[in-house]
Amino acid sequence: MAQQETWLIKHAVTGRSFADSRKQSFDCRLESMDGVFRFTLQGLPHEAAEAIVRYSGELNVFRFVTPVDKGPVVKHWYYVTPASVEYHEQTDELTFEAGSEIEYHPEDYWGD
Amino acid sequence: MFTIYPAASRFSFDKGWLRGSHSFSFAEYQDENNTAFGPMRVCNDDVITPGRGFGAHPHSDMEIVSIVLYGELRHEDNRGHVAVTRFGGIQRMSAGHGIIHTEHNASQTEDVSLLQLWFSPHTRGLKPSYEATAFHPERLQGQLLPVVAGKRVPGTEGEIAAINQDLTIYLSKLQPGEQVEFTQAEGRRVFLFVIEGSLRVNGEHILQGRDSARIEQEPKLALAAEESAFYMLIDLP
Repeated sequence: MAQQETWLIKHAVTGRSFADSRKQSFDCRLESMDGVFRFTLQGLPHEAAEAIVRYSGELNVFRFVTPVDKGPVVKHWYYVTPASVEYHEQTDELTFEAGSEIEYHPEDYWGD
Repeated sequence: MFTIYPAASRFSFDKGWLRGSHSFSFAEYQDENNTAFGPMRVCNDDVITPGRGFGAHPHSDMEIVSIVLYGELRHEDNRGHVAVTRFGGIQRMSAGHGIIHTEHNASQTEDVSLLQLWFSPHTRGLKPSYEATAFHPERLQGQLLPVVAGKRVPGTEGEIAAINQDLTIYLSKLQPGEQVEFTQAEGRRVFLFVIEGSLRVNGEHILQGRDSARIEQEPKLALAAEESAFYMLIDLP
């Protein structure tokens, strides 16, 4: 059994959800090279993709990984480069880059 | 221009562990016409029950100020900062290119009440930082006491938190009949928030507890206490 991945894109100020793979069906591909993370999303609702472009300067992008052994979820957060956020309507692809990633383990913090 | 936002006009909620009011769009409250006042993006008036709080979550490119009104607020972040703040204490976090943090009520018996303020920074991608400062509560009386400022004033380290935006947050307490004046520079904004009591502004506008006002193009503000007043004034670009 493979580890389970959840993808989330939210507005960084209000917390409004633009994309949530637990509730929506879309593909997300992540490639990393030389410290740059390149995301390609396909199948997002048109309105969601446009909202992500509109709020490109204020995005929280998450990848939650649930290990095969059902251990604690490992969370990854990405710092998106606003100018890289593009929606290609003809191919129904949303692409963007992140310049850095923070991996965190919520159970490591007091009170969590 | 002087626009009053009565306390009751805010979005209020009660989740059991957290109750509060949002002055700007936040979480369940979404209003495209109320997302900012200059660089100010959030003014949340929160009460957190004992031992509860916000789990680990990220921020970026936001200056976040927490002013504790009573109780104990615990901050922890992925850069090794841990602090507990009480009344008289200010927490300032510059999220910059990314920070993970938690905020909890450090007490197992008492609520914590805080104002949390978010501002867009003057520059994106700054190095994340955090500081906790403390002012002397007795110095609030009869004057506008700066507790957060965009310019570091020598000798105020530990008392005035330094923020990456051209703004100053003042706190003040006035006795009935007492008055202070604030001169608003041209092109600047003022966000005024009454924490407790009643404040008369320029002789005509009366703000009660938790009312706020967004003020532009008013060269002089005369702030007089109708009854004992505790309030916050933010000078913004």
